[in-house]
Amino acid sequence: MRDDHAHRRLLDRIREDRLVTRRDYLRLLATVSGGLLAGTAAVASGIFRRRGSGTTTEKKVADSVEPGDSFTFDYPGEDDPAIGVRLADGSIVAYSSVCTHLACAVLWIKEKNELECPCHDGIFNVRTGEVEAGPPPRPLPRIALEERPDGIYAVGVIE
Amino acid sequence: MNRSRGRLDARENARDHSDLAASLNARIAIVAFIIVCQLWALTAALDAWLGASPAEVWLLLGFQVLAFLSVLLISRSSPKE
Ligand code: FES
Repeated sequence: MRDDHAHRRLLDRIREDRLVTRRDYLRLLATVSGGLLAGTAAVASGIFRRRGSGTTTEKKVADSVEPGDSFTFDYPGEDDPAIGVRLADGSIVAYSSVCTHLACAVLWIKEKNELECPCHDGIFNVRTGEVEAGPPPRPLPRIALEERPDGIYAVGVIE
Repeated sequence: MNRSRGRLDARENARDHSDLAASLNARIAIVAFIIVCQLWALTAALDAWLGASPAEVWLLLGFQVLAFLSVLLISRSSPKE
């Protein structure tokens, strides 16, 4: 009789332990859920710097450029490489030159009239910055330029 | 008499236990599903942030808050023994 009782208590304890493990697991999942919420809050608060964004002051980026030629500069910050191109029709465009796929440098290919990322053959439209081919998920951030008598100025980022 | 009463108790105990276990298992499954959705929401929020769509990021943050509250509610309301 006593043996029976002891055996039952032992069984109960083993079962309880299993339940505790399930409860602990539930608690762990709740913590993970809180972590994911915190991660999203961090994203929303702007903890990750977006390439090509930031305070945009005016900056002279080139003296002059011939049609079909490109020039490079840093804008809006010193760590934000950008590329400008004067198109055949005389208009001038500029974009962040950091590929939106895995951040390789985007190059101007005059013969093909397109901006190309050599890492995974990403191709961007030179007039709009939109992705035309390859893996980049987003267009290139565009930089607004102004031509003044003394040169070409970057005046802002068009998101 | 006493012995059969004891067996009955043990059987009831086992049934209670399996109900409890099933309820906890169901809660774990639901919470795990919510967490998978939260994982997706985090990646979507990062993508929206990099793609400069702040409205979408705030929407996803709202979803995360709701999801977390549901997880808390589900885990807090799990049956006690
Ligand atoms: S880094 Fe540019 S296409 Fe992959």
